Amino acid sequence: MSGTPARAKLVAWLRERHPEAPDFGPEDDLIELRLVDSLGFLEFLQLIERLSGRGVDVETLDVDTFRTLSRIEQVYFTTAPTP
Amino acid sequence: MTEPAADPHGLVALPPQAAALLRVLDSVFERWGVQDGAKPMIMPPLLPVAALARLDVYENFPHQALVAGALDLQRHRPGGRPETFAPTDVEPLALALPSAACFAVYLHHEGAVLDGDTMVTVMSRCFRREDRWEGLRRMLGFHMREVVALGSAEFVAEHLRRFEERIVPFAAALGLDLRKIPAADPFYDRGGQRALLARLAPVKHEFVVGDLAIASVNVHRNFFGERCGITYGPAGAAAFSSCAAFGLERWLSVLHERHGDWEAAAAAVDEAATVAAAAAVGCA
Repeated sequence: MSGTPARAKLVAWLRERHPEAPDFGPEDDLIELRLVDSLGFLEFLQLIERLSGRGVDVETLDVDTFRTLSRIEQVYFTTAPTP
Repeated sequence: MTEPAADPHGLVALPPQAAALLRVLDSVFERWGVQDGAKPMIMPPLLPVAALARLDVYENFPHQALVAGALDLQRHRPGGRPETFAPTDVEPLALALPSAACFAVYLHHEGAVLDGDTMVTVMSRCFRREDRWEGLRRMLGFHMREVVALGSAEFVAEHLRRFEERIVPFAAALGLDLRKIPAADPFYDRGGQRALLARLAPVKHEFVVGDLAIASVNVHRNFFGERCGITYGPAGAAAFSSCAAFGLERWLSVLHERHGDWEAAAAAVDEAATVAAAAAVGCA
């Protein structure tokens, strides 16, 4: 799957955790497909934080932001981080 | 006659009127499933421990678990009237008393390639070790009616939506003050990662009267499809699943409390079921 370097790293992380999963695209729901599950969700958030340089506040986050790769890219990787 | 009290083991007999009402309630919930295309099945009373372990039952619900096994006849000596058996008196405990009716459905479909969206309904005796026993509210063994959907994500979500549309007005017609609340099931890590995603994207909602859950709607995403190798569609994707579950003795308990005796409770159920059936005809 092509895309930004950040997307490639997210895909690599998901692939490593779920080598058995069928191919998935930028619009697939990662939570519904359980590529991001309840035990991996915090690690996934931490990966996004590390790659984007932005913090994710678990108290206020909207889970829909993290459902698809394209939405994650749109929110965390298409504009510069707040200084 | 008042609601039966639990004995020290949480084992309760239903008096005739309560038993009759349980069957009426069960037929209402079963009919809802059948109206949607669910095939009624009867599942085995016990399931292999190894099979339930594959479904993470002993990871998520160790506190509820009950297991069974045969006496070790090499060690057993006739005579005496034992009150308990020691672990050394029995063969390895390879069988489990299931804590929910739907596990048997996923295990029955293990390895299945579904022709299309599939729905099954079962009513089973379920068993849970509780930290306390309480009349018909918390029992060691109870009856659970479940309607299980297997197939696409959209199909299993729609299944729960339709059931919610039935449960809410049915409870209202029975005079029950029903609330729908998100629930967290797993035993471990309630404050950790599992709890976080469960809070953000709940997989279980309970329908509660007072503090007692009498029904629930549960989404499993493709968990059971993956674990049991159940696939659907041309791409052979792991099936999604969801279930609507009814704890029948708990319905009896809240109905008895609301209406004061079994006769009044039965009359209320008859009337509400008639209204629900008429509404279903109206929708068809």
